[in-house]
Amino acid sequence: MKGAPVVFRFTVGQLLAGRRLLVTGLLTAFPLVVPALLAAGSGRDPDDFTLDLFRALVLPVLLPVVALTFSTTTLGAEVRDGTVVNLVLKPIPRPGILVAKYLAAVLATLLVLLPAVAAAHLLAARGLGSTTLLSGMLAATTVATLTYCALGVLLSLLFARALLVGLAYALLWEGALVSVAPSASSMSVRGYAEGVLAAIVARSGLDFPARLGPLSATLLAVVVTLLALTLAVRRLERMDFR
Amino acid sequence: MTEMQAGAIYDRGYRHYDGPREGRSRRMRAIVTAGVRRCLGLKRNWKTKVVPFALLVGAFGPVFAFIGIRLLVGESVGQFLGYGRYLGVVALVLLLFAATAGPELLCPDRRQHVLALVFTRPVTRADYLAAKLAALLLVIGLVALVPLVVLFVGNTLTAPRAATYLREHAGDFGRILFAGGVLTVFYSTVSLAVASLTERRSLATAGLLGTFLASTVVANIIFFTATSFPGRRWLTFLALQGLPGRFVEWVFGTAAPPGSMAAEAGFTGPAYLAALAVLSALGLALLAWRISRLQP
Amino acid sequence: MSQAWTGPVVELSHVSKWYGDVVAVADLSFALGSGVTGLLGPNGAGKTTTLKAVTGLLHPSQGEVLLFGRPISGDPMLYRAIGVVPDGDRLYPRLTVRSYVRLHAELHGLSKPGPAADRAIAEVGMEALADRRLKGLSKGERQRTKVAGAIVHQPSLLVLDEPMTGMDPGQRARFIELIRLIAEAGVTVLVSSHILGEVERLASQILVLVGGRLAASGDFHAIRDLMEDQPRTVVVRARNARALAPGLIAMPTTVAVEVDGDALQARTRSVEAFATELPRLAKVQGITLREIRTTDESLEQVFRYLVGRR
Repeated sequence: MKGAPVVFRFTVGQLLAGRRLLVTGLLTAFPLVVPALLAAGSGRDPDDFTLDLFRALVLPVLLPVVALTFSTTTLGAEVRDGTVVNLVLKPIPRPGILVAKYLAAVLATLLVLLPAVAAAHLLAARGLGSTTLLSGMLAATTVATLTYCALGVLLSLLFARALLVGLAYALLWEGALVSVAPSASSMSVRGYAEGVLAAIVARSGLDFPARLGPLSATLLAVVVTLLALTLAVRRLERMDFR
Repeated sequence: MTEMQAGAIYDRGYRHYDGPREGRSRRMRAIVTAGVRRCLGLKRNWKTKVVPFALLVGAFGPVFAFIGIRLLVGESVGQFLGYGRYLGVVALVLLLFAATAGPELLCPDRRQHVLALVFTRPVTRADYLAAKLAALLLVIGLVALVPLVVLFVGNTLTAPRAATYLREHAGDFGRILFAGGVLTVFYSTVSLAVASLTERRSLATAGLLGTFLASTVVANIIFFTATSFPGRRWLTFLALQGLPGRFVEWVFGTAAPPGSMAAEAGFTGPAYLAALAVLSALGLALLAWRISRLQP
Repeated sequence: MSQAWTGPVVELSHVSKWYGDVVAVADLSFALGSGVTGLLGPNGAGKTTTLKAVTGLLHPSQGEVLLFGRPISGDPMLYRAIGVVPDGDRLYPRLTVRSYVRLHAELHGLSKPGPAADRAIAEVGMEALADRRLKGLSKGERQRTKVAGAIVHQPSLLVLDEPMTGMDPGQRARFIELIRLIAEAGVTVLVSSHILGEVERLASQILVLVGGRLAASGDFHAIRDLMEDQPRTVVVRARNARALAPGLIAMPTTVAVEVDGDALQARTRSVEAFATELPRLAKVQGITLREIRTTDESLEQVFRYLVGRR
């Protein structure tokens, strides 16, 4: 499987080509950093604020948009424009190609999101702040990224407008779910992330109701991720390329 | 059997078109029709229909369901969500529709290098812009106006005395048209403006959705956090997805939910209308500028 | 791995591919050895489908594809010995020639990708343009770059799908030379085309696809011989050619005879019979034959016949 790391490296280069990393990073950090700066001077409890910001902006909007944008283009775009045959006609097993592309999307997403979240936290707390909160947010971000990216890759192999379908799911379905049927949190990636976050953060006294315990949240996230990747591999192996 | 002539050569090949040539309105109508078809996925395979039709079901479904129930059960069912409230609910569907349809109209022409074909015909940039805008207005108007009109008609017909209902609620009908019209113009211009910035549909869609939703969330967060921030009441105009909601509330006379940013900011309805108008105008300007700079 | 195999390099058995009700190729069976094989057919005959089945880019609805005796389906390691130049663009516009070829070398897991890439670039004659971005190249240069990417790992089988479309005659001539050199180095080459002149110059064996089916295979002169109901044209030059005419037209296998000065053109169903009878006639009449040749050996004849036969 010597070629798979090459696919990974090459794809990361494609996804973050030119100034894309910088522009996306700044665009994502901006709506987090500005409120954080304002909150720092306002006297509101920084941890409380950051948690709110994370749960209202990062998890529902920024994370899905960035993760789905990267993961639906990492493989889907190449299949659609035909350049994927450059990778398929090589001694690299197709599962290897898929995993490499998936991990590239995950890396790109994390490179954009983690610094932005950390920056917002540090600025709001004017210092290190609650490291529990910080690690909780970073962990939740990672879990959600892993799952959203898997879904995005699968969707990109199934639909031409995968990004739209993914965004409709993340914004409409997960958004509506939060208000209407709390018990269906087990079907929402946002729910898994919140479960992980709540568990880590509970120790520090910050507290918010998460409908999933840490174990079920992690387990579900892993199951959904692996299922999505497996289905994606099967689709890639059976695919006829144009 | 016809008699064969001694010999004849039939000129069946390429020939000059000598027939009537239709004018500018026909050309523009062609672009508009093609645009509407593309957005709604008409005349294409089922996969392109999924997203638009799902959104249409989301917008029309409850209306038809309600009318159906009304017909069966009678007036005891009571009023459906007021027109204003329904429009507020449908706003998210409108956003999604605009975020997908706008890029669909502009981006593929650039991405697939079709512009050269379009602009070597007697279609000016202004015509192109107007036609694309018209197409999007039609499509979005479908979601912003038609369900409510249907609801109104349904209410009228199922009311115990239709004529009375009509007379009492004629104002409502006017409000439906006004509110729906403004929202249609707003979402159409902003969506096309953002779509004109990039060749890639998904980027435009993600950008639109991200901007609308993120700005709303951020505005709310800053508002409730930076309580001593001077001029913080102006933050309410930053909440892009909230602007239509506030405007609709004013038109239909409902108040903003107490404790929300809008209630505390205390701006009157016309201010929101002005904000929508300003954003629409800016969007139109950006769109016009980008289209004038398009290289076929 | 591929060196140990002595059987046919490419073997298809009863391969069919259909999409719903549309049959792209039906019941293809053939085996290829070394040398250059041309895959011919009109547009829409199924050439690209066949090549995609051969290279594993699509799964046949029926039948089996064996490369070096092993099924291509699900065996990506076989690609170590296979190079493919697919149809269409499929290039990354912002890469340079060198980085594109090097990428292929790295994807193949070559231990020294840089030197391998340089060697491949030199082989296709693109050294001068090695640092140019792909989007700035002409069609011929792009195709040659794709070939470089396809041979960088020194495959034993090279498959090309209509590589010369869009090339001007000069580029085509150079490209044909390149393919010939590659074939002379021992690589099995399968190239599809609808440009008969090139295939004639390039390929020793041909496969003709018409309407998704194999209409003929083998050496095209041999195929021509098999086309019995198509008369061959023979031109004879002699001082008194007209005197030969009555004897020739008397032969039952002769279809027509035309005389113009010292040139006699005959169409006959059997060149063999003609070639036996002509010298006898000439000797009897005391006529010296100055030139005898057949004129319609062209691939176009073969092709038109096969296509028209359906």
